[in-house]
Amino acid sequence: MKCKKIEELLSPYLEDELSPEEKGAVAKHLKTCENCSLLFSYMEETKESLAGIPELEVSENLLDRLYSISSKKKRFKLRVPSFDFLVRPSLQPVLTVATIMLIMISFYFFGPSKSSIDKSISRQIHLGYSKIERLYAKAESFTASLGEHKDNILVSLKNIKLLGGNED
Amino acid sequence: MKEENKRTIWQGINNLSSEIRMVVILRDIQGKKYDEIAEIMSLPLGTVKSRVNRGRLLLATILKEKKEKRNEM
Repeated sequence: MKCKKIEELLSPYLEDELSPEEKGAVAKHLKTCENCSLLFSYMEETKESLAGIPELEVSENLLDRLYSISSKKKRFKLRVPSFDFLVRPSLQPVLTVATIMLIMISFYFFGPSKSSIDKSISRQIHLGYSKIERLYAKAESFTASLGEHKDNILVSLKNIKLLGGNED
Repeated sequence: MKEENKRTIWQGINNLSSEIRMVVILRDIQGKKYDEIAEIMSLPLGTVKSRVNRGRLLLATILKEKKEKRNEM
């Protein structure tokens, strides 16, 4: 057998996992091939010193803290989806309008001309009120004049042919 | 001498590729069985065995080269 093939069998040979024939072949090769037997002895040495490397014991306290990191992360992750609708592209115009409104409102509240804005707003409101009052007055006079001509109007309505009135 | 070998092997482990390093650590440091490692890594048993073999060979080669260098000096 060639050295390359033997190399593949060294690890199972070390752990005594080979069939008797393979085991015999490897043993025979190791006796004759210096290079492979050297490699095998180093492999044994490697395995031994690896087994001697102590595993670091992690303290309970640290373990708990490490585990709690993942649960904290999970909690954080759970909280995020409830807000992620805010970044959906369909909401962009709404958010834009809201931003503009906020800017305007902040101009009103924090700008230097708050009182003059207040004044002009109240003036506009009063103008609106007086307009409405005038409208009411007009409507009242209109209904009054309607009342005067009520009978005439009813007669003339009845006489319109389009509405199917009879001529009497 | 022995300490130096250990250090060489330890450095060698750090230089292994992560997939080989993992199985070597599980097998030779933690002393787990092959089928356990196959389950942990979710790899076929044959792959685990060949990786352990490759890792051991690499470490043995590293140790061998180091000793040869030391003998030359």
